[in-house]
Amino acid sequence: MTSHALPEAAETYLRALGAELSDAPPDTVREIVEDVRAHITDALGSGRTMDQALAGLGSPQAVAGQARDELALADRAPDHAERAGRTLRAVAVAVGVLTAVCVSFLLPFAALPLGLGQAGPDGQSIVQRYGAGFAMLTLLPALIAVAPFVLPARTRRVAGVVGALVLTAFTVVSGEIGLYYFPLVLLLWAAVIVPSAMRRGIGRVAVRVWRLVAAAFVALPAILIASSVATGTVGVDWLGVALWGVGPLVLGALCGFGIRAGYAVTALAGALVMILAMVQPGLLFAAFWLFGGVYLMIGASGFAAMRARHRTPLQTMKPVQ
Amino acid sequence: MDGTRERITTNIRKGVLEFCVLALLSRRDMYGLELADSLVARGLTASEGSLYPLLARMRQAGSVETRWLTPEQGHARRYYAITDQGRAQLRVFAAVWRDIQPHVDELMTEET
Repeated sequence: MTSHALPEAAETYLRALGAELSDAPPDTVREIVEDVRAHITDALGSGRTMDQALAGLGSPQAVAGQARDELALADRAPDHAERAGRTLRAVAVAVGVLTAVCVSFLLPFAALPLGLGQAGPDGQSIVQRYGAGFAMLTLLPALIAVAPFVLPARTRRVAGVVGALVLTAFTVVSGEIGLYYFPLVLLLWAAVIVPSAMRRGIGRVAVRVWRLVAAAFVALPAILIASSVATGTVGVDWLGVALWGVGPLVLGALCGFGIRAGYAVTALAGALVMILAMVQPGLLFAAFWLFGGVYLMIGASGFAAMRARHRTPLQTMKPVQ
Repeated sequence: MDGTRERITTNIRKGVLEFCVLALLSRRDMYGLELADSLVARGLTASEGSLYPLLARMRQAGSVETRWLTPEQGHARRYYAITDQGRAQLRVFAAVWRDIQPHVDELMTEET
Protein backbone atom coordinates (compact mmCIF):
# COMPACT_ATOMS: atom_id res chain seq x y z
CA MET A 1 0.00 0.00 0.00
CA THR A 2 1.36 3.38 -0.90
CA SER A 3 -0.17 5.94 1.34
CA HIS A 4 2.16 8.88 0.98
CA ALA A 5 1.10 12.05 2.68
CA LEU A 6 -1.01 14.51 0.72
CA PRO A 7 -1.22 18.28 1.25
CA GLU A 8 -2.70 19.22 4.61
CA ALA A 9 -6.14 20.10 3.21
CA ALA A 10 -6.51 16.55 1.90
CA GLU A 11 -5.20 14.96 5.10
CA THR A 12 -7.66 17.05 7.09
CA TYR A 13 -10.46 15.88 4.81
CA LEU A 14 -9.43 12.24 5.23
CA ARG A 15 -9.12 12.60 9.01
CA ALA A 16 -12.54 14.19 9.21
CA LEU A 17 -13.99 11.36 7.12
CA GLY A 18 -12.39 8.77 9.42
CA ALA A 19 -13.66 10.62 12.49
CA GLU A 20 -17.21 10.75 11.12
CA LEU A 21 -17.09 6.96 10.83
CA SER A 22 -15.35 6.36 14.15
CA ASP A 23 -18.03 3.88 15.19
CA ALA A 24 -17.81 1.78 12.02
CA PRO A 25 -15.62 -1.33 11.74
CA PRO A 26 -12.04 -0.02 11.52
CA ASP A 27 -11.07 -2.17 8.52
CA THR A 28 -13.97 -0.92 6.44
CA VAL A 29 -13.23 2.69 7.36
CA ARG A 30 -9.56 2.24 6.49
CA GLU A 31 -10.49 0.89 3.06
CA ILE A 32 -12.87 3.75 2.32
CA VAL A 33 -10.29 6.30 3.46
CA GLU A 34 -7.61 4.59 1.32
CA ASP A 35 -9.94 4.63 -1.71
CA VAL A 36 -10.64 8.32 -1.26
CA ARG A 37 -6.95 9.02 -0.71
CA ALA A 38 -6.12 7.31 -4.01
CA HIS A 39 -8.90 9.30 -5.70
CA ILE A 40 -7.48 12.61 -4.45
CA THR A 41 -3.94 11.62 -5.45
CA ASP A 42 -5.10 10.78 -8.99
CA ALA A 43 -7.29 13.88 -9.24
CA LEU A 44 -4.35 16.11 -8.29
CA GLY A 45 -2.14 14.14 -10.67
CA SER A 46 -4.56 14.73 -13.52
CA GLY A 47 -4.31 18.49 -13.07
CA ARG A 48 -7.26 19.29 -10.85
CA THR A 49 -6.77 21.72 -8.00
CA MET A 50 -7.23 20.60 -4.42
CA ASP A 51 -10.46 22.62 -4.20
CA GLN A 52 -11.87 20.95 -7.30
CA ALA A 53 -10.86 17.51 -6.09
CA LEU A 54 -12.45 17.96 -2.66
CA ALA A 55 -15.54 19.70 -4.04
CA GLY A 56 -16.07 16.81 -6.45
CA LEU A 57 -16.06 14.36 -3.58
CA GLY A 58 -18.60 16.26 -1.50
CA SER A 59 -18.19 16.98 2.21
CA PRO A 60 -16.72 14.31 4.52
CA GLN A 61 -20.07 14.35 6.30
CA ALA A 62 -21.90 13.57 3.06
CA VAL A 63 -19.54 10.73 2.15
CA ALA A 64 -19.78 9.35 5.69
CA GLY A 65 -23.58 9.61 5.52
CA GLN A 66 -23.51 7.64 2.29
CA ALA A 67 -21.30 5.02 3.92
CA ARG A 68 -23.73 4.73 6.84
CA ASP A 69 -26.48 4.18 4.32
CA GLU A 70 -24.56 1.59 2.32
CA LEU A 71 -23.22 -0.29 5.31
CA ALA A 72 -26.51 -0.02 7.18
CA LEU A 73 -24.83 1.53 10.19
CA ALA A 74 -26.96 3.20 12.77
CA ASP A 75 -27.08 6.96 12.39
CA ARG A 76 -24.22 8.63 14.11
CA ALA A 77 -23.84 6.96 17.48
CA PRO A 78 -23.70 9.43 20.35
CA ASP A 79 -21.02 11.83 19.27
CA HIS A 80 -17.69 10.70 20.64
CA ALA A 81 -16.26 14.19 20.97
CA GLU A 82 -19.41 15.40 22.65
CA ARG A 83 -19.17 12.57 25.17
CA ALA A 84 -15.50 13.30 25.90
CA GLY A 85 -16.40 16.93 26.55
CA ARG A 86 -19.19 15.91 28.91
CA THR A 87 -16.91 13.55 30.85
CA LEU A 88 -14.26 16.23 31.28
CA ARG A 89 -16.85 18.80 32.30
CA ALA A 90 -18.31 16.43 34.89
CA VAL A 91 -14.82 15.94 36.36
CA ALA A 92 -14.38 19.73 36.33
CA VAL A 93 -17.63 20.23 38.24
CA ALA A 94 -16.57 17.65 40.85
CA VAL A 95 -13.24 19.44 41.26
CA GLY A 96 -15.11 22.75 41.50
CA VAL A 97 -17.17 21.43 44.41
CA LEU A 98 -14.08 19.95 46.08
CA THR A 99 -12.33 23.28 45.70
CA ALA A 100 -15.27 25.13 47.22
CA VAL A 101 -15.18 22.86 50.26
CA CYS A 102 -11.45 23.30 50.47
CA VAL A 103 -11.61 27.07 50.26
CA SER A 104 -14.57 27.43 52.62
CA PHE A 105 -13.27 25.21 55.38
CA LEU A 106 -9.51 25.23 55.11
CA LEU A 107 -8.39 28.55 53.77
CA PRO A 108 -7.78 31.07 56.55
CA PHE A 109 -9.91 34.09 55.74
CA ALA A 110 -6.80 36.25 55.96
CA ALA A 111 -5.96 34.91 52.53
CA LEU A 112 -8.97 36.65 51.04
CA PRO A 113 -8.05 39.62 48.94
CA LEU A 114 -10.73 41.74 50.61
CA GLY A 115 -8.77 43.64 53.20
CA LEU A 116 -11.16 42.33 55.88
CA GLY A 117 -8.55 39.93 57.22
CA GLN A 118 -7.60 42.08 60.19
CA ALA A 119 -11.11 42.08 61.55
CA GLY A 120 -10.94 38.81 63.45
CA PRO A 121 -8.63 36.38 65.15
CA ASP A 122 -6.30 34.46 62.90
CA GLY A 123 -6.88 30.91 61.87
CA GLN A 124 -10.62 31.09 61.37
CA SER A 125 -11.94 29.54 58.21
CA ILE A 126 -14.26 31.43 55.91
CA VAL A 127 -17.26 29.49 57.18
CA GLN A 128 -16.41 30.31 60.80
CA ARG A 129 -15.85 33.93 60.03
CA TYR A 130 -18.51 34.87 57.51
CA GLY A 131 -21.00 32.04 57.78
CA ALA A 132 -22.40 29.56 55.32
CA GLY A 133 -23.99 32.19 53.10
CA PHE A 134 -20.69 33.70 52.15
CA ALA A 135 -19.18 30.27 51.75
CA MET A 136 -21.77 29.59 49.05
CA LEU A 137 -19.92 32.14 46.95
CA THR A 138 -17.00 29.75 46.73
CA LEU A 139 -19.30 27.45 44.77
CA LEU A 140 -19.75 30.05 42.06
CA PRO A 141 -16.89 28.67 39.91
CA ALA A 142 -18.44 25.21 40.11
CA LEU A 143 -21.71 26.73 38.91
CA ILE A 144 -19.93 28.40 36.01
CA ALA A 145 -18.44 24.99 35.18
CA VAL A 146 -21.86 23.35 35.22
CA ALA A 147 -23.57 26.04 33.11
CA PRO A 148 -22.92 24.49 29.66
CA PHE A 149 -24.73 21.33 30.82
CA VAL A 150 -28.00 23.19 31.29
CA LEU A 151 -27.77 25.66 28.42
CA PRO A 152 -29.24 24.93 24.98
CA ALA A 153 -26.91 23.01 22.64
CA ARG A 154 -26.27 26.01 20.38
CA THR A 155 -24.74 28.15 23.11
CA ARG A 156 -22.88 25.34 24.87
CA ARG A 157 -19.50 25.71 23.22
CA VAL A 158 -19.46 29.47 23.63
CA ALA A 159 -20.51 29.13 27.27
CA GLY A 160 -17.68 26.65 27.80
CA VAL A 161 -15.07 29.04 26.40
CA VAL A 162 -16.47 32.07 28.25
CA GLY A 163 -16.57 30.15 31.55
CA ALA A 164 -12.97 29.01 31.11
CA LEU A 165 -11.85 32.57 30.26
CA VAL A 166 -13.67 34.12 33.24
CA LEU A 167 -12.22 31.63 35.70
CA THR A 168 -8.75 31.95 34.20
CA ALA A 169 -8.90 35.70 34.74
CA PHE A 170 -10.17 35.13 38.28
CA THR A 171 -7.34 32.71 39.03
CA VAL A 172 -4.74 35.12 37.77
CA VAL A 173 -5.95 38.20 39.67
CA SER A 174 -6.99 36.75 43.00
CA GLY A 175 -3.72 35.56 44.46
CA GLU A 176 -3.66 32.60 46.81
CA ILE A 177 -7.35 31.83 46.51
CA GLY A 178 -6.88 31.69 42.75
CA LEU A 179 -4.28 28.99 43.20
CA TYR A 180 -6.96 26.73 44.65
CA TYR A 181 -9.05 27.08 41.53
CA PHE A 182 -6.17 26.34 39.17
CA PRO A 183 -7.01 22.61 38.72
CA LEU A 184 -10.61 23.55 37.92
CA VAL A 185 -9.43 26.02 35.29
CA LEU A 186 -7.18 23.36 33.73
CA LEU A 187 -10.08 20.94 33.48
CA LEU A 188 -12.39 23.58 32.02
CA TRP A 189 -9.91 24.24 29.23
CA ALA A 190 -9.57 20.50 28.69
CA ALA A 191 -13.37 20.24 28.41
CA VAL A 192 -13.27 22.95 25.71
CA ILE A 193 -10.15 21.93 23.79
CA VAL A 194 -10.30 18.12 23.79
CA PRO A 195 -13.71 17.79 22.06
CA SER A 196 -12.95 20.51 19.52
CA ALA A 197 -9.62 18.86 18.66
CA MET A 198 -11.41 15.53 18.29
CA ARG A 199 -13.95 17.09 15.95
CA ARG A 200 -11.25 18.58 13.78
CA GLY A 201 -9.43 15.27 13.76
CA ILE A 202 -6.14 14.83 15.57
CA GLY A 203 -3.11 14.04 13.43
CA ARG A 204 -0.90 11.07 14.21
CA VAL A 205 2.07 13.30 15.02
CA ALA A 206 -0.02 15.44 17.35
CA VAL A 207 -1.20 12.34 19.20
CA ARG A 208 2.37 11.13 19.60
CA VAL A 209 3.58 14.50 20.86
CA TRP A 210 0.68 14.71 23.29
CA ARG A 211 1.40 11.25 24.68
CA LEU A 212 5.09 12.01 25.14
CA VAL A 213 4.37 15.28 26.96
CA ALA A 214 1.82 13.51 29.16
CA ALA A 215 4.29 10.68 29.86
CA ALA A 216 7.07 13.12 30.74
CA PHE A 217 4.89 15.05 33.14
CA VAL A 218 3.38 11.97 34.76
CA ALA A 219 6.85 10.48 35.29
CA LEU A 220 8.22 13.75 36.72
CA PRO A 221 7.83 12.83 40.43
CA ALA A 222 9.91 9.72 39.81
CA ILE A 223 12.70 11.84 38.40
CA LEU A 224 12.51 14.24 41.34
CA ILE A 225 12.59 11.32 43.79
CA ALA A 226 15.48 9.69 41.97
CA SER A 227 17.53 12.86 42.04
CA SER A 228 16.80 13.50 45.74
CA VAL A 229 17.75 9.94 46.62
CA ALA A 230 20.89 10.17 44.50
CA THR A 231 22.00 13.42 46.10
CA GLY A 232 21.10 12.15 49.54
CA THR A 233 18.68 15.01 50.29
CA VAL A 234 16.09 12.53 51.51
CA GLY A 235 16.56 9.25 53.30
CA VAL A 236 15.67 6.11 51.43
CA ASP A 237 12.23 4.98 52.49
CA TRP A 238 11.50 2.09 50.22
CA LEU A 239 7.73 2.35 50.52
CA GLY A 240 7.96 6.00 49.56
CA VAL A 241 10.24 5.23 46.66
CA ALA A 242 7.84 2.58 45.41
CA LEU A 243 4.83 4.87 45.73
CA TRP A 244 6.22 8.14 44.42
CA GLY A 245 8.98 6.76 42.21
CA VAL A 246 7.97 3.52 40.57
CA GLY A 247 4.27 4.46 40.41
CA PRO A 248 4.77 7.58 38.26
CA LEU A 249 7.32 5.78 36.08
CA VAL A 250 4.89 2.97 35.31
CA LEU A 251 2.01 5.41 34.76
CA GLY A 252 4.23 7.57 32.57
CA ALA A 253 5.14 4.57 30.43
CA LEU A 254 1.49 3.49 30.12
CA CYS A 255 0.48 7.02 29.08
CA GLY A 256 3.38 7.20 26.64
CA PHE A 257 2.20 4.05 24.90
CA GLY A 258 -1.34 5.36 24.82
CA ILE A 259 -2.88 2.76 27.14
CA ARG A 260 -6.28 4.01 28.16
CA ALA A 261 -6.20 2.34 31.59
CA GLY A 262 -2.93 4.20 32.29
CA TYR A 263 -4.75 7.49 31.84
CA ALA A 264 -7.62 6.34 34.04
CA VAL A 265 -5.23 5.42 36.87
CA THR A 266 -3.35 8.70 36.40
CA ALA A 267 -6.61 10.62 36.79
CA LEU A 268 -7.50 8.64 39.92
CA ALA A 269 -4.02 9.14 41.38
CA GLY A 270 -4.35 12.88 40.74
CA ALA A 271 -7.74 13.03 42.47
CA LEU A 272 -6.35 11.03 45.38
CA VAL A 273 -3.36 13.35 45.77
CA MET A 274 -5.69 16.37 45.77
CA ILE A 275 -7.87 14.81 48.46
CA LEU A 276 -4.81 13.85 50.49
CA ALA A 277 -3.53 17.39 50.23
CA MET A 278 -6.88 18.60 51.52
CA VAL A 279 -7.12 16.17 54.40
CA GLN A 280 -3.58 16.77 55.58
CA PRO A 281 -2.76 20.31 54.56
CA GLY A 282 0.89 20.87 55.19
CA LEU A 283 3.72 22.96 53.93
CA LEU A 284 3.57 21.42 50.51
CA PHE A 285 -0.19 21.78 50.21
CA ALA A 286 -0.03 23.99 47.12
CA ALA A 287 2.49 21.72 45.39
CA PHE A 288 0.43 18.58 45.96
CA TRP A 289 -2.85 20.30 45.10
CA LEU A 290 -1.54 21.70 41.84
CA PHE A 291 0.36 18.58 40.86
CA GLY A 292 -2.65 16.39 41.61
CA GLY A 293 -4.73 18.79 39.51
CA VAL A 294 -2.42 18.48 36.51
CA TYR A 295 -2.34 14.68 36.89
CA LEU A 296 -6.13 14.64 36.97
CA MET A 297 -6.34 16.86 33.88
CA ILE A 298 -3.86 14.76 31.89
CA GLY A 299 -5.42 11.47 32.96
CA ALA A 300 -9.01 12.56 32.37
CA SER A 301 -8.21 14.14 28.97
CA GLY A 302 -6.35 11.06 27.73
CA PHE A 303 -9.04 8.74 29.02
CA ALA A 304 -11.89 10.75 27.50
CA ALA A 305 -10.17 11.32 24.16
CA MET A 306 -9.33 7.68 23.59
CA ARG A 307 -11.99 5.47 22.19
CA ALA A 308 -13.06 2.53 24.27
CA ARG A 309 -11.88 -0.53 22.39
CA HIS A 310 -15.13 -2.18 21.56
CA ARG A 311 -15.95 -3.49 18.16
CA THR A 312 -19.15 -2.43 16.60
CA PRO A 313 -21.52 -5.36 16.60
CA LEU A 314 -21.39 -7.24 13.35
CA GLN A 315 -22.61 -4.84 10.74
CA THR A 316 -25.46 -5.90 8.62
CA MET A 317 -24.96 -5.76 4.91
CA LYS A 318 -27.71 -5.30 2.45
CA PRO A 319 -27.77 -8.68 0.80
CA VAL A 320 -27.66 -8.64 -2.97
CA GLN A 321 -28.93 -11.74 -4.63
CA MET B 1 -40.55 21.26 -8.80
CA ASP B 2 -36.75 21.19 -8.58
CA GLY B 3 -36.96 19.36 -5.27
CA THR B 4 -39.17 16.72 -6.83
CA ARG B 5 -36.83 16.26 -9.75
CA GLU B 6 -33.89 15.91 -7.42
CA ARG B 7 -35.67 13.35 -5.29
CA ILE B 8 -36.71 11.25 -8.28
CA THR B 9 -33.22 11.42 -9.76
CA THR B 10 -31.65 10.37 -6.47
CA ASN B 11 -34.00 7.43 -6.08
CA ILE B 12 -33.52 6.08 -9.59
CA ARG B 13 -29.74 6.50 -9.45
CA LYS B 14 -29.70 4.66 -6.16
CA GLY B 15 -31.31 1.65 -7.77
CA VAL B 16 -29.03 1.43 -10.79
CA LEU B 17 -25.66 2.86 -9.75
CA GLU B 18 -24.29 -0.39 -8.37
CA PHE B 19 -25.01 -2.23 -11.63
CA CYS B 20 -23.64 0.56 -13.78
CA VAL B 21 -20.42 0.22 -11.79
CA LEU B 22 -20.45 -3.52 -12.46
CA ALA B 23 -21.13 -2.94 -16.14
CA LEU B 24 -18.22 -0.50 -16.47
CA LEU B 25 -15.91 -2.90 -14.66
CA SER B 26 -17.05 -5.82 -16.81
CA ARG B 27 -15.42 -4.05 -19.78
CA ARG B 28 -12.10 -3.54 -18.02
CA ASP B 29 -10.55 -2.91 -14.62
CA MET B 30 -10.66 0.75 -13.62
CA TYR B 31 -9.16 2.91 -10.92
CA GLY B 32 -11.32 5.06 -8.67
CA LEU B 33 -11.01 8.41 -10.41
CA GLU B 34 -11.60 6.82 -13.81
CA LEU B 35 -14.71 5.08 -12.56
CA ALA B 36 -15.95 8.26 -10.86
CA ASP B 37 -15.37 10.33 -14.00
CA SER B 38 -17.22 7.81 -16.17
CA LEU B 39 -20.23 7.83 -13.86
CA VAL B 40 -20.34 11.61 -13.47
CA ALA B 41 -20.00 12.09 -17.24
CA ARG B 42 -23.07 9.87 -17.73
CA GLY B 43 -25.00 11.71 -15.04
CA LEU B 44 -25.31 8.53 -13.01
CA THR B 45 -23.99 10.05 -9.80
CA ALA B 46 -23.89 13.61 -8.57
CA SER B 47 -20.99 13.27 -6.19
CA GLU B 48 -17.81 11.30 -6.74
CA GLY B 49 -17.53 10.79 -3.01
CA SER B 50 -20.59 8.57 -2.84
CA LEU B 51 -18.86 6.03 -5.08
CA TYR B 52 -16.44 4.83 -2.42
CA PRO B 53 -18.92 3.82 0.27
CA LEU B 54 -20.75 1.92 -2.48
CA LEU B 55 -17.54 0.19 -3.56
CA ALA B 56 -16.83 -0.69 0.07
CA ARG B 57 -20.15 -2.48 0.32
CA MET B 58 -19.71 -4.20 -3.05
CA ARG B 59 -16.29 -5.36 -1.96
CA GLN B 60 -17.77 -6.81 1.22
CA ALA B 61 -20.52 -8.46 -0.76
CA GLY B 62 -17.87 -9.96 -3.04
CA SER B 63 -19.00 -8.43 -6.34
CA VAL B 64 -15.82 -6.36 -6.82
CA GLU B 65 -12.26 -6.65 -5.62
CA THR B 66 -9.38 -4.21 -5.44
CA ARG B 67 -5.81 -4.73 -6.45
CA TRP B 68 -2.75 -2.58 -6.87
CA LEU B 69 -1.60 -2.45 -10.46
CA THR B 70 1.18 -0.54 -12.15
CA PRO B 71 0.14 0.36 -15.69
CA GLU B 72 2.74 0.57 -18.46
CA GLN B 73 2.89 4.31 -17.99
CA GLY B 74 2.30 5.92 -14.65
CA HIS B 75 2.41 4.99 -11.02
CA ALA B 76 0.84 2.16 -9.02
CA ARG B 77 -2.88 2.54 -8.68
CA ARG B 78 -5.64 0.89 -6.80
CA TYR B 79 -7.80 -0.83 -9.43
CA TYR B 80 -11.26 -2.23 -9.07
CA ALA B 81 -12.19 -5.45 -10.85
CA ILE B 82 -15.47 -7.32 -11.20
CA THR B 83 -15.64 -10.82 -9.71
CA ASP B 84 -17.54 -13.84 -11.05
CA GLN B 85 -20.20 -13.14 -8.48
CA GLY B 86 -20.37 -9.57 -9.75
CA ARG B 87 -20.83 -10.80 -13.33
CA ALA B 88 -23.66 -13.06 -12.23
CA GLN B 89 -25.39 -10.15 -10.51
CA LEU B 90 -24.92 -8.00 -13.59
CA ARG B 91 -26.59 -10.64 -15.78
CA VAL B 92 -29.58 -10.79 -13.43
CA PHE B 93 -29.88 -7.01 -13.40
CA ALA B 94 -29.64 -6.83 -17.19
CA ALA B 95 -32.49 -9.33 -17.53
CA VAL B 96 -34.68 -7.44 -15.08
CA TRP B 97 -33.88 -4.13 -16.72
CA ARG B 98 -34.78 -5.44 -20.19
CA ASP B 99 -38.11 -6.62 -18.81
CA ILE B 100 -39.00 -3.36 -17.14
CA GLN B 101 -37.54 -0.77 -19.47
CA PRO B 102 -39.86 -1.12 -22.52
CA HIS B 103 -42.92 -0.96 -20.31
CA VAL B 104 -41.76 2.17 -18.57
CA ASP B 105 -40.80 3.70 -21.93
CA GLU B 106 -44.17 2.89 -23.43
CA LEU B 107 -46.01 4.48 -20.52
CA MET B 108 -43.80 7.54 -20.60
CA THR B 109 -44.23 8.27 -24.34
CA GLU B 110 -47.60 9.83 -23.56
CA GLU B 111 -45.97 12.29 -21.19
CA THR B 112 -43.58 13.94 -23.62
